[in-house]
Amino acid sequence: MKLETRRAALRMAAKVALVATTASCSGAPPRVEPSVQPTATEAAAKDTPETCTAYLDTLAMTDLGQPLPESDPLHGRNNVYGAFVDVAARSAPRTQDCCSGELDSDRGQSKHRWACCSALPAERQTIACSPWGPPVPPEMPAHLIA
Amino acid sequence: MTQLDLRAAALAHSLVVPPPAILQRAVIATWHGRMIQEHGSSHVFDGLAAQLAAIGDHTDADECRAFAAEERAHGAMCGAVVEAAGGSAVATIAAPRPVPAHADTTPRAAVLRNIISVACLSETVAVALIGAERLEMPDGPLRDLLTRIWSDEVGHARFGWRYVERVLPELTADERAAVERYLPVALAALETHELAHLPINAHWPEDGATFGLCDGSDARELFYDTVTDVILPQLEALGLAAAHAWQSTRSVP
Repeated sequence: MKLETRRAALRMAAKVALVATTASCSGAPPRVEPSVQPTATEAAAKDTPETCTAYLDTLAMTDLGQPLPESDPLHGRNNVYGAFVDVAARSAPRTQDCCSGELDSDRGQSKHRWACCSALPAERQTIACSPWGPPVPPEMPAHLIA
Repeated sequence: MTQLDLRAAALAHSLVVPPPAILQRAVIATWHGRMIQEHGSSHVFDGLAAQLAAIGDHTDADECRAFAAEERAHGAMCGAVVEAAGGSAVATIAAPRPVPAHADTTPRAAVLRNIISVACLSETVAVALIGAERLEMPDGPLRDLLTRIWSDEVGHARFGWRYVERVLPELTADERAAVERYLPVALAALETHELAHLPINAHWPEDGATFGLCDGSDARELFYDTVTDVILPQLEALGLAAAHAWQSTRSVP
């Protein structure tokens, strides 16, 4: 993005607003052995969206924003919001194929989205920026209600 | 889960885009995602309209209903890009979630919380991001379509800022405190949402801009600039402790 584009975009945002005048870390996710060994490429080739979802469901995922242990290759990466706990499973052909298919078909609505995003290399990701359209405002968390 | 089928509405636009060639998958995926987001936002504005009507604010409720219709139209426009690029403007989507009632405060403070989240935060960021994308897009039918979406988003953001300016002084001290308590929550949710939809490793060839494929890193920088240089100062100018709220989101575990 050109610098002048960025400045112009900010000016536009400022104009509409002008009316009157990642997380700290604690603890580590438990290491969970995958209950399904992602091995055979034949299995991946035979997968349907349903079997892929079922397969990905078997892989333990970190919670949103949960820190990864220092030994994890994704530790400290600021663009990781979730991950499959099992490091080896992330690069397994079946995981890669299922994640690629699910992200393509669900366009970011998948419950595995963040784990899949961190598992796939950039060249297998297909979606660009799509934050348009305001989401539903967040609820006030119960612990913050006086 | 329900089926969203915007094929007929999309095809009505008769949009033609240059062949995306190797970018086809990315173009379809990106605009398909936008189609879902935009259409989903119509429910958000319908929810706001209902809340505004419930507190007797029928003029603003009507305006929000019009915004909801615009978001539905944007969904079809994004679907038009999907179809023009060779994809299908169909998606399986989750049932819409209701706009929060915020039962811990009064209805008018609850509405103000939601309008800040939707219009002053999300839509102001959208004005910057879509504006930048539009500036880098060459003239043509896709830029015309983007211009229409962008100009509507300008209206949605402006509505929010004007509403806050008008209503905030009418609130009691308790209601104002309730709004301020919400700011860290809204800002944190904004950041989570934006970052999740701005992949940092999304880089495209130069002609990506022709199809509205933005660079994730650049978009993130613009997002943060919009928060710190536009949104926080304007909320502060209106008398809300937004800078402190943003700082507090930096240390939320």
